[in-house]
Amino acid sequence: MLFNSPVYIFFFLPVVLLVYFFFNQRHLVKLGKYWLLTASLFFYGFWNPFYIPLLAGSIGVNFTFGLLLGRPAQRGRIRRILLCVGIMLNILLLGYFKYADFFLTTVTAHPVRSYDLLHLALPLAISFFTLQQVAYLVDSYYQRTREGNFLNYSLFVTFFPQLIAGPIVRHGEMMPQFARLRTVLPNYRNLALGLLIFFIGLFKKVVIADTFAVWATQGFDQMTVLNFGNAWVTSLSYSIQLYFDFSGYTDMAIGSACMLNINLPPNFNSPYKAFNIQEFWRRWHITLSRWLYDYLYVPLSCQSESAKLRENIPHHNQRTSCRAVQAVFIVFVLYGVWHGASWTFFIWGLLHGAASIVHRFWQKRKTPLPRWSAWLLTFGFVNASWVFFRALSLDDALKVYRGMIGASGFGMPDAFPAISLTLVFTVLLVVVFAPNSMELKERFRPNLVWTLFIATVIAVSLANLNRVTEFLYLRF
Amino acid sequence: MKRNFTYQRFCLITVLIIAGVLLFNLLAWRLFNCQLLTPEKGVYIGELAQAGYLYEHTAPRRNTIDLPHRHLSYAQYTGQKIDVLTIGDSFSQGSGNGPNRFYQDYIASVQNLTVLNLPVKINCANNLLESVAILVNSGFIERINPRFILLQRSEKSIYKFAETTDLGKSLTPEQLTNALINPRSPLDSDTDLGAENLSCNRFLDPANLKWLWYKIGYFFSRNAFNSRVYREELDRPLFSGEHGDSLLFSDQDLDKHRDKQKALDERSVRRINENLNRLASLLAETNIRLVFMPVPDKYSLYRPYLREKNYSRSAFFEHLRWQPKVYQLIDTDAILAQELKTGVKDLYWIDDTHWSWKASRAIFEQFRFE
Repeated sequence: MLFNSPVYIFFFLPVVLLVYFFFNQRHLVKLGKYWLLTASLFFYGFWNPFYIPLLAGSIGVNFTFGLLLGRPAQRGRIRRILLCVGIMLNILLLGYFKYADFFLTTVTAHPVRSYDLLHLALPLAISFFTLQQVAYLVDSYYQRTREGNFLNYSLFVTFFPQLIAGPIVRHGEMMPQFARLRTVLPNYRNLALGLLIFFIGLFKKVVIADTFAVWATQGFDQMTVLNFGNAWVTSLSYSIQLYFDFSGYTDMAIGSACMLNINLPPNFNSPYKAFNIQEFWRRWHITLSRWLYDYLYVPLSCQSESAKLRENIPHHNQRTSCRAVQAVFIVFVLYGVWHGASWTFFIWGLLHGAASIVHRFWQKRKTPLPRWSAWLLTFGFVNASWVFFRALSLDDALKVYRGMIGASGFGMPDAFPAISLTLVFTVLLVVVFAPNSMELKERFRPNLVWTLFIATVIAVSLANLNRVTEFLYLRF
Repeated sequence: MKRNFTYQRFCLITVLIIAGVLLFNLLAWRLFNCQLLTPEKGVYIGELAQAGYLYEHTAPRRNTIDLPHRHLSYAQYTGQKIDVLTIGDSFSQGSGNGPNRFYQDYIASVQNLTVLNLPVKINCANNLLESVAILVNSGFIERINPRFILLQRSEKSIYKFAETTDLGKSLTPEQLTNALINPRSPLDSDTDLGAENLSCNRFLDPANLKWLWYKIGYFFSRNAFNSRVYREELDRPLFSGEHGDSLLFSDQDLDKHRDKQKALDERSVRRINENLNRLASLLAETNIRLVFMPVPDKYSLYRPYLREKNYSRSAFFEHLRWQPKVYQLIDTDAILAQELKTGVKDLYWIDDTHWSWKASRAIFEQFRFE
């Protein structure tokens, strides 16, 4: 089920809210949790019910490992082995569904015939719930969290607003919220904020992202040659589409959860306002960046017990050791291929890894660029790198790059509607100068102006529900 | 407590807004847009009414044929002797719909000739002239061996004929087959106004908001501020129905449109004529005569009868008439203008950029293939 579908907006979400608070108001809190779990599984199974057992199995196995790891009496060596086995099982599950065919076609030396491939459909959300549960195992190992209740653990993994494409939450930040008394009763402030954020997210998706998606698809997938203007409209359209698609999804997730009195962590903080690549990664897909930092970068760069350290030491003061450089590369390459089994994702990760290293060394010189050029360089790089991220093949990416440097001829973007260029720059101005949805949430007051604002957003968003398109991150 | 009440009120208002938006969409869709944008099967409504959401200006029609002879489509062609081969844009594909929508059927019936219509999509061709030349050079035309080739093009896109035209191109038999199996010519897109083409019957649709916007906009502006469809008042009813004294036309008909400007000046028309003459000479080598049928834009044709003449008239036909020609010109502008003078209604459909059967009949009763 998609957040931007009428069935979710007009049926699923209202029914879930009504029944959940009905149970809670009658002190049937446990029943309320069972209801949320059932609703979440229905939400997941709406796409393909055959993958519910896979999700349930993954939950069962990780819960068991979490229980074993959480036993303080357990000996250190056994706990380490348990952790490794638990993580390996998660990686194997993800690898089997996501990378088996890629491995067969790319890594094996001899040519592979089509019928030798597995052609597995990627189970929805597998990349997200796998990372979430790996984090849970690690946190259990370090005794940062503990869960002895299967219902609570299942709810932590399957909670429908964050199940499909994040934000990637931690057990320690989620489950205490379900236990609070304030959470179980209806809260009109949260309901109002949730409605606001949800519909801002819907607007981002159905009005902005889906509009630019048409031009991005045309440029990347349908045109064989792109002149200078067409190539830039294509690449900028995709940058806009991706940001508004994913941040729109996140807003709808945060909004849905907020209505249930659950605060999900923010995933975006105006990433295109960043002045350097490190800042970009602190603003883009924040929960995944956080996961990679804590559970991959820190162990790789041997900065154990880093959570405390990270809070005290700013990033730019960390020493750029050889090991850290290696860690950055590995993290970004894995970040790239986490999105999918493809060389284009690999190169995209590699580019960002390289850019992060260059940025670290540049910082050491202590000669900062003027702010406008720093922004231009950062946005230009991010925009250019998205070409690899979006392209279906290396040839497609090169086609767009050739156009962007004018190698396929200079010219205006004549393949797109005349208004496309104006819209691209208008939206970019909004992205750079306007407050983001989390800032709007902070400024929100229930008054006439905000009512008119939400009325406009609702009217335009709902009118565009005629085309229900998938979110880009559902593919990952 | 007060604050809680305020948030509560905001939630209530928001829920009411959602309900109001749903109700508006449901009513707008059910009462107007559903019939306008997704008419029942077999009923056609013109693209101008659809793109401008001008429900009251529609002329719903069904495709019927009551002529004694019909033209051949390419799929029906099995080697018959062909008198006239027609190649053109959406006018040649009967896109106006309604009774006797193909002008080719009038050629067949009125003049008792065998007519073959050929939709052409040749990607490597710069324009329709090159497409015809490719068909000649690849031996395709020789196999059909028509006496005449009727080349049709609407005025709004005729500027393409003034572009550099290479009449020496040819294709392999395989490429040629691919080019000819398309049932409709891509040139149809020349009159694409972005009218909604809905396959589903959901009532939540941006069309509902656009309908409201245009409904208000047409009170204050000829094109509702941003519509591609203009509405002007005529000094007499030249269309049937309650709004028969309104003229709907596309922004592409106006001289301010960038494509139209290219065809306005005499130099462009001279180049168009030269290219047509070159093609006619090429065809003459195989004893085929070229007949060129430009189609006047709706605005140009009806302009003399507008109450307010806000835009200039295209001088394309005036310029073309006096050019030296190797081909035959069907002066549709003169023929249809004469018809309008006699007060004939519905020469063009009120809700469409295309003409109706009345125009086809008038033209081919006057022009003879001799």
